[in-house]
Amino acid sequence: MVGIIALKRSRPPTVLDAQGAFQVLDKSIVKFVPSLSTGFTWGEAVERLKSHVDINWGKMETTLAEYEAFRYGGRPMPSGVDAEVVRLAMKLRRKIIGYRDQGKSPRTN
Amino acid sequence: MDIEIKERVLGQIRRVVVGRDRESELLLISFLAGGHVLLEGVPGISKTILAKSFGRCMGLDFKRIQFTPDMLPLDMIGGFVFNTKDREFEFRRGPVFTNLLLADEINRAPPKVQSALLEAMQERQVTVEGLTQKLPSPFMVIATQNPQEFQGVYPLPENQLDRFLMKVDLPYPDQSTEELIIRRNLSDMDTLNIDQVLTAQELEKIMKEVGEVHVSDEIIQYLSAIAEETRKERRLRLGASPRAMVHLVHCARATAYLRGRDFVTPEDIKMVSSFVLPHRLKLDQSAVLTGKVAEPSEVVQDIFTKVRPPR
Repeated sequence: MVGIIALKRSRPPTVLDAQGAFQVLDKSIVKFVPSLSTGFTWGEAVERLKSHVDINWGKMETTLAEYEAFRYGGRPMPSGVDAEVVRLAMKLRRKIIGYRDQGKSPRTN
Repeated sequence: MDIEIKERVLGQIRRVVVGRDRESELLLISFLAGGHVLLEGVPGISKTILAKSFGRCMGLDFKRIQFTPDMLPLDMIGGFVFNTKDREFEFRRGPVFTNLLLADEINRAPPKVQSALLEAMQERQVTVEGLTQKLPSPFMVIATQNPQEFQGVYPLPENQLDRFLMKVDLPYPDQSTEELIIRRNLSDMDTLNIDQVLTAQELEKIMKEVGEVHVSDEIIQYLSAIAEETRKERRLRLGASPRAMVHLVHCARATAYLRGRDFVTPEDIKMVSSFVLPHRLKLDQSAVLTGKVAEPSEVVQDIFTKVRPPR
């Protein structure tokens, strides 16, 4: 059972576009960073995870700005899937982070 | 969209006022959103100089009224005086005819004066004996009140508080800021040191651009969900009014603009919500007495952690 869960978490998710990538990241944050409340914004999530997860945050922030322009500003969806967004989601899933969440989710304990 | 505007304005205010960047930014947001601000704080914490400096760097005509219990509405809006030369009554404009009005200690004035000012704030015009006079544009009121005063004051009722776009609490400065204030005031401090950083044309253009900042349907749904939550909340006797939500979205637009965007994000709404909503909410007394809540801002914070923004 443990092996199946570990295998499932290590497999990269199938993501078709930028919106899909951010949806996967959203789910990963909700599930594995429970101390971020339901009402979290992307800015708050980035702020919280920045110093704990090792990814290219400069690139991540640029991608997020483009995604927000699409999501809230009516701009066209950014083309392609940014690797940093998926990498962050995967790192949260696999818990390859220097971040110990203080929330009560049994998955993080 | 111009990120530099904020720095230009704050940079000038910093020349005279120490450690009030957050408050300066909120004044700028309110101004761009076309609203009025209530500053709350004890005397001597730079409320007046902040307002004066703000007016000066924006190139606005500034006037100050010290509110007192014996004031009459005419002292503020003006009235008819007899011109002995022409042998006719003529309207003499009061200090409300300005761009930036500092209404100092608004809660010391009797309700008649308060409501006259609040009418001017809402309608942007005054009427005396059937004569309607438009106020200059832009027109912004920065009112102050001291939360420690209980005697000889007339607290603003809920419907009047609702007219203020924001209520900003000015705390005491921290120790290092206080040292800086004392050091700076060893020499003469004057708002004359402040340069005007925006012309009237620039201001007009900026305010037009702020009005064009995009608000998506999902953001509007998010706002209405927030409003609904405040009305369902058991710890509140009075939730947010539709006007509160309109004010919130205007502030969010100005915030987005100052951050260099032409669209509003949930981040912008969250950032201004703690200054736009709490003063309009009324706590349920039984919730206060049972220790469930002490301040409306706690409820606002809880609601924003509960309601899922569009992501």
